[in-house]
Amino acid sequence: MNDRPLLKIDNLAVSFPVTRDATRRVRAVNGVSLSIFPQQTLAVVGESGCGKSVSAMASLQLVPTPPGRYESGAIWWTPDPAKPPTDLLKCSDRQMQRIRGGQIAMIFQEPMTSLNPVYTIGDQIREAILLHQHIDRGQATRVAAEALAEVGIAAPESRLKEYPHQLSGGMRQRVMIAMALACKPKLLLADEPTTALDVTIQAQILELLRRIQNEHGMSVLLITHDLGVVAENADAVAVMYAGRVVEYGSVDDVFDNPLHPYTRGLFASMPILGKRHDRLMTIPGNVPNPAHFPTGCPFHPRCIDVNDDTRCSTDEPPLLEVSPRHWAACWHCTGYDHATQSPPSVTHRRSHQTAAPA
Amino acid sequence: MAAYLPRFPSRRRYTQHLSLSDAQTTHARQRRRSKLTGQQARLYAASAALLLIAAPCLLSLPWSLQRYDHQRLDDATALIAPSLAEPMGTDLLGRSLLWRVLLGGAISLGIGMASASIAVIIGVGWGAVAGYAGGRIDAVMMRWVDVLYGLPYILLVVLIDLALQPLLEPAFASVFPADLAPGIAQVTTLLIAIGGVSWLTMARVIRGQVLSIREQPYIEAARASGVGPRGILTRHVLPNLIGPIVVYTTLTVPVAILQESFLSFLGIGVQAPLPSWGNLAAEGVVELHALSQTGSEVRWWLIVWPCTLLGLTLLSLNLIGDALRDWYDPRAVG
Repeated sequence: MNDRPLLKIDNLAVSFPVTRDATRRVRAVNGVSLSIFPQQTLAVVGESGCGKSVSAMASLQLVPTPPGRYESGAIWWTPDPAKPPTDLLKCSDRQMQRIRGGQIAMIFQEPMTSLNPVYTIGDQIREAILLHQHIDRGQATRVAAEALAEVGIAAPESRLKEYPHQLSGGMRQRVMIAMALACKPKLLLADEPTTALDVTIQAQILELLRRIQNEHGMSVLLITHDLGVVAENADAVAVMYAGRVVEYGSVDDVFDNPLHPYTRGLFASMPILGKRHDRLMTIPGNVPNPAHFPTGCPFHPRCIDVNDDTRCSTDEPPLLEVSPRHWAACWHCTGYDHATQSPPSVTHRRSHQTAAPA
Repeated sequence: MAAYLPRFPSRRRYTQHLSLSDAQTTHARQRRRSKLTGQQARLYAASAALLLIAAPCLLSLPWSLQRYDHQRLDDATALIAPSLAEPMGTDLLGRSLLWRVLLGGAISLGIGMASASIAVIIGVGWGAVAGYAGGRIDAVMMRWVDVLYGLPYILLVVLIDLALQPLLEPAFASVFPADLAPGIAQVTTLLIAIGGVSWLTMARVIRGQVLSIREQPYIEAARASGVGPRGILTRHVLPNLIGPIVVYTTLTVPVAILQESFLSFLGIGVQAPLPSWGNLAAEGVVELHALSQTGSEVRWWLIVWPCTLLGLTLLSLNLIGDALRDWYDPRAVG
């Protein structure tokens, strides 16, 4: 496996206007750096509104501009390690149309509404195929049927003629995945692919994604707020809070030794199977309103580790490599004093055998 | 277990839930089949009614164009009631009403359909582009619509009419036979003028719908799979608007027919001796006075034929629009 990242988000910042006349803008994403390596699954976790989706959408230039604006940063895309990377933020619309769906595919949270109600499943998968591959309609129909069979849909030929409203939620998400995979993308952006589904379907869909990832050797950026999903599926984890990455490392490092108090809070607020809880622990307070971010560390008003340390409320901690291959952004975490500055990238991939069996 | 049973309406219902996937698909298929036949029945009935009226009007054009102005200026042939020889009676000038109604129908339907098509093409294009582009382009395009809305449409029709007539008449004179050219030029100008002012509502409706549809997740999903802006607009946004487009088209056709008759009445539209259902009805409307005067004879055929045919046409157009809307919407089941 080579060590060039497939996708490298470098200091990305995206802002949106708060007021009608756009005199004040907030940064939904503020200096995010991430790397995804070939065949790796990177999980991005965080509360609603912390900038997870915007980071993923920015990779496909899908953030609507206006009102949104890319303030800084670059997104380096290296589909072929032998060639120099391209900056996705500088690509023209026409170049982006070739990349979207062809090289980078995306699946969305809402399988119920992500399919056009007036077209059959077959029409929609075929459209995605015909946009990126130079084959005729008959061949495209066969490819579509194969894609449906691959995501575990029985009788794919007859399903192709059905409309989205005739399918259940799990089936629709399978169709979305089939659509995304029909062109064999190198990277799949999965924006909370299982949030709208019930638990058993969730497990099936994740298992499906894992199997297809192994077979096709693609990378997955998995956006979720379910830590169980992360533990089962991810190789590396990026924890986001208020538009910043606050902790980054391999799934083992982050789960065994969470450094940032926010990450620790997330783990503490999860129920443990078999253990009796009277009340789950919570992180006090709410996600700060993006229009009024606190100065200093964005997490400090909610942080239980702040011991009248003025540094937390005045200076924002940068994301530093606290221990080898493990980054965190907190003045108080162990080892932060002699941490080094380095671009966050974890090449770790778990061996496939450790993944939970079907 | 027994305690739970009353919660379910029946055991049968409960077992149906258990075998959800199979039951659901066959059920959906059954509903789909019955939906198609029900819609087909309505669609066919209304289309047949329209065809029964429109086909004779259009097919008889070669004969009606020669006979519509065949005047017989003697008392024996003027204003005779419907009979075997004159199935629809004759008018004041002894002209056979049958030929006049047939030609009038062809002209009215032609103007209605053609100007509705013009209105739909301009309106859908304008509204879709404005709604999808958004921002400044949208603002400029829709203010232009507002300005046109503010002007009285009769004025616009007259202006378009006056501007086009001198252009079209010489152009048509070289293409069509000399006796027909002025009439064809007149009808063409009229339908362009009516179409040119009737697209405003369409543009507003379509823009509003595009604004809501372009925010749908499936539009974003389509963008994420690499569909370009033109593909999104034509393949993903507009097909979702087929319902409103069809409904507004069927509303525009009768409105255009009515506008044509109104303008003809004012002397701007179809002018005598060319008939249209509008000006035939306008000629016949004087017979209503006779109703209130005892002793005077009512020449009912002058008003009944054009009005009945006009009414039936408008009714069947509305029914067709209704059936088509359900037909194109796969979500409307049952």
